[in-house]
Amino acid sequence: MSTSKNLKLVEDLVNKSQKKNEIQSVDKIASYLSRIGNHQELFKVGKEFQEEFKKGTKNFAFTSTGFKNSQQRMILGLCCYFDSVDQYRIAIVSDHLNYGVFDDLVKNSSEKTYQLAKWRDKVKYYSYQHHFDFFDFSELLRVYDEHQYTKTFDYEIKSILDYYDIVLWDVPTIEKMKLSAQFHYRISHFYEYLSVIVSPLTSSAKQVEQVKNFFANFNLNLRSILFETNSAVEKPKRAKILGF
Amino acid sequence: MEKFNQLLDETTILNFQLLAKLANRYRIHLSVCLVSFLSLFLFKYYSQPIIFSVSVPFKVVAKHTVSTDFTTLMPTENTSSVTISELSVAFSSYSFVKSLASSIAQDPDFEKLNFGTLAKGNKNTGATIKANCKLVPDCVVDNLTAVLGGFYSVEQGLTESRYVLNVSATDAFTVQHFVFHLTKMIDRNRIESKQYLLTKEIDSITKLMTESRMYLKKMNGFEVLDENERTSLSIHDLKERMRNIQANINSEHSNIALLEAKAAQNKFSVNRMVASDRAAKINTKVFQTKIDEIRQNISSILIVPENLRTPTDRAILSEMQVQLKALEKKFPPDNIYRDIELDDAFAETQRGVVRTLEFELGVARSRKKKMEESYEISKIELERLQKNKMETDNLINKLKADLEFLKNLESKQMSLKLLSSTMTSDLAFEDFSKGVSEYRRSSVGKIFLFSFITMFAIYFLSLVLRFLIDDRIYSEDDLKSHFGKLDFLGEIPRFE
Repeated sequence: MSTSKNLKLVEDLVNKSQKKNEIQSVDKIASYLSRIGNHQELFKVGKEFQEEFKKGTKNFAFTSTGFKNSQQRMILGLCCYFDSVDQYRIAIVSDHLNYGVFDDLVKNSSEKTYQLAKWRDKVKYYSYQHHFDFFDFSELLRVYDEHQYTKTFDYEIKSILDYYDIVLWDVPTIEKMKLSAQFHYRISHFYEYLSVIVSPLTSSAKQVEQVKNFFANFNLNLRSILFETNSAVEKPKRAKILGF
Repeated sequence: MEKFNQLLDETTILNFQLLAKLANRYRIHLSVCLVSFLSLFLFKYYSQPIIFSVSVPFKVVAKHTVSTDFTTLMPTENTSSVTISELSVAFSSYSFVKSLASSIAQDPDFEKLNFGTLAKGNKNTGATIKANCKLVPDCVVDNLTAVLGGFYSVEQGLTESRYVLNVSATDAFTVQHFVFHLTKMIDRNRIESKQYLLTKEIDSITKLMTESRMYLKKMNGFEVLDENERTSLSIHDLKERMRNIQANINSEHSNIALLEAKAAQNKFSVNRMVASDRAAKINTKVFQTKIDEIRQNISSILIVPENLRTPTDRAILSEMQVQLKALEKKFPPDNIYRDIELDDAFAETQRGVVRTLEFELGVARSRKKKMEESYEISKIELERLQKNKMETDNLINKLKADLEFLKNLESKQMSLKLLSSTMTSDLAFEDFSKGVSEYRRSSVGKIFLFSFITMFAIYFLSLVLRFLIDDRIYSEDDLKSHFGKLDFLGEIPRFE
């Protein structure tokens, strides 16, 4: 009885949120921007990335010590910033399009495809009201898996990315990257500017060092650090000491 | 090293701002330390044993000693020779503690006494010690010697010559026994230590005396002294004797003179009495005959009755009565015969006296003569003795310094022996009936302070240690310390 009741409650909540989203889908970007609590920080960080963009960097990758949601919020914040600054063509590549922050936008996006130049294959993506295009790592992985023995994977990906002014990479967790290390190695060549997000109280220098070393193996250097100050962020579980 | 440098500051040595930040960051440390502080405080205070203590005040009384100056052989006073350090060393010396242990081991209540240490407050009774030593007395004393030192101490009192003996134990019964034995042993120790010095002095003096005597013996000093003494005595006796002889001679001389005078007088009297007695006797007899005749005539007349008497008779009678009265007046009727009888005996006696006097006179003269001879002999002897004494006196003068030295040594030895036999302790214990006080080894304040300092130090060290080993990123500064080369761009957007 209690399980069915709970399910009913969850369904009600989902319906309510969908209705709410429909109401707010008029201008989601502005809505997100208005909901940001620390505008000054966003503009400060946005300016830094804009400076890098002006220097010619277009691929910004974001990794963290386990804060996927923070990565997505940072990417979304930057999208909002760049979107407000100019009419940039922005691509977002993530492995969590259907979860977290991007979920709402992706659901309201229209599914489109790119025809690959040398192959007859297509790459699926989600376009949100001409603001951003969402690519799923799994789609790229699928393409890589199907054509891994060819030499034109990088070329095909590059030809897609060339459509955009700015590409924001929501880098998967290290554990996930290790599962398909070759693919990520190939993809990582596109990361021009790698930032790591750390959280006070939960991130340790050792973890950051691990991330740094991992990407160093991919011949990538961390360029900057971003701070997750949201106290509501999920803290990693403490390691057991003497079994407690 | 980077983190360690962060803890230091150029001006304040320690970076107090960072420490405050660490205190705020690791608040759990403060909570744990506060709980630990309270636990430590309570544990330290209540885990320490209750100590029973008695304070025995004592003072240094005027101490007698013997002057090294031979001219003043009487003991003198010395009050400033005892110090707290000397007392502490003396009362903690192995010999003292061992003698104290021996004394306590002989206590009838020894088995009930508790020798547990004050710090731990454990039970270690005399019975246990005896059992461990299997009743071997030396083992018991050795075990006691090892533990007794911690039960008492000496402190300076309010004045220079006053001290306090603090005796402590883990029960009141034991502490009272300790006090009894300690005071007894301290008295004995003080006397023995002083007697030891005197014994040493007596030994050295005896040695000096032996050397001095040997020298004098070598020089025949003692014989000369003896001879001089004998001569002096002889001279004295002889002089006394001569005085007596002289007195006797003088007395005898007077006696002889008296006897001679008496004898001469008696002789003269006897001779004269013999002559006069004869004439007197004849006269007396004549008058007596005449008196008798007159009486007969008177009687014959009186026989005739008065009326028959003729006037002639009456006239003759009257005349004869007058005549009789005159004669009786001249020669009383009672003495007439006796004088006559006595005169002869007296004369004979007087002659005997004369003979005796003459004999005595002869004896006295003879005696006087003998005494005069004896006096002359004594005079010669006296001269000889005086000559001898003069010779020995000369010899004694030569040995005078050595003899004087020996004499002084003898006096000093006697004085020291007297002092040694009458020696008393120079420490006087005052009234210690204040009773046994109870306390814990450390006061509340002391343990509070100790616990606080300990916990504060641990808290500080734990903060520093955790800071050093904690690699969590709390702030931009931490990031810079770990990844100085990376750019810190800022915070990520926070949706509300």
